[in-house]
Amino acid sequence: MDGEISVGMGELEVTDDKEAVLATFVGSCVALCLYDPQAKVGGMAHIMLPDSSKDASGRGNAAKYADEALENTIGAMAEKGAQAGRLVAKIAGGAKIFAHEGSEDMFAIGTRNAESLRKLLQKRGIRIAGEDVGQTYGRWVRFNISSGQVKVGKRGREEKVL
Amino acid sequence: MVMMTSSLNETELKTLKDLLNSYIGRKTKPAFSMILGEEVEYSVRSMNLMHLQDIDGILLPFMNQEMCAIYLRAEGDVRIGMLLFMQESQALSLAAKLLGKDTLDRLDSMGKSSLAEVGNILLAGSVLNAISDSTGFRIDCSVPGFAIESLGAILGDPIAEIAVRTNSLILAGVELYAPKSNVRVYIFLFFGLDDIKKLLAHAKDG
Repeated sequence: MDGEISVGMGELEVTDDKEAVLATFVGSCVALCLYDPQAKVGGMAHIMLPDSSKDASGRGNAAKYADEALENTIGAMAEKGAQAGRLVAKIAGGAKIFAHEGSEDMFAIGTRNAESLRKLLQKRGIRIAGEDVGQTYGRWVRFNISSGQVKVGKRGREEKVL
Repeated sequence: MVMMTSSLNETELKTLKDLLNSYIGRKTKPAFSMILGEEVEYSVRSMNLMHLQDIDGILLPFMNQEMCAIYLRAEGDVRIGMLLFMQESQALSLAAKLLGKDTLDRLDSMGKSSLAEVGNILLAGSVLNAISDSTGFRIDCSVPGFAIESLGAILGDPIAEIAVRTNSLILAGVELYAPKSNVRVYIFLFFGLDDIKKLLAHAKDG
């Protein structure tokens, strides 16, 4: 797709290009889409894990952890003219891909990612305008900067628009 | 303080491949052969160092391929993500064979459970056992998780869990093929760089 910018695992992209579409694929990871509708600046972060405080080393990717991803995305968007008070969020992903017959918590990394991000957004006073999280399947996420619309595609399921 | 390493040289990668060949040949191949009741062929297809920022590009062509997968997470002296996966048609053939049926149209709970058990035997019971025997490492293993999903979604959990500390991982790929049943399965093993260095330092072949 023309103008589509791929956002890799643990990475973030911010743009004010109104032709751009930020895109990623998430399973248990979460795609955070932040948008300033007035400045038409958008940012997408591909979050892999809920909390950087448990990581004693290995920093380097701007969006690996939910807490760092949120702050880094807000910071990068501010540099392009976005204002924190105008931001709205849309989130997708956080699936529990692997099912098993034991503890519910065993492979619940996706659930923890989504919960952590919700709390962080609430703490920052950023409204979640739409979300498609949980379940057991992967999702393609495409964030249109011109409209702020986020399209979520799933294998064998109808596309959802946030 | 934990020392982080950022790469492996060609000799280390070759030694690793030889070690894995030995583990699979001695433990996993006979185990799969016993499950199926026939001779099995195997091949260690790849042993690659992958950096987090490159993973999407490498895996993108395969992202939408639907697979049936069993995932086990091993933790202790080293952390290893272990994935057994196959195409759904292969999963149906394998489950049918395990359940003593000619064919299966869909994977019911018995079919899924039987495949999870195969994952348990091939990954925890053979690969992990071989690593533990060879190194003396104490390693605990999770119960098997089961999924039928795109490869992109399936790979997310092990990549996140292993690559998180060093932003890179070693991905070892193994193929097992049973010609008589025409069943082909794949094993991916995910190691962190520090853990692979530990393994190289402690492993005794044979």
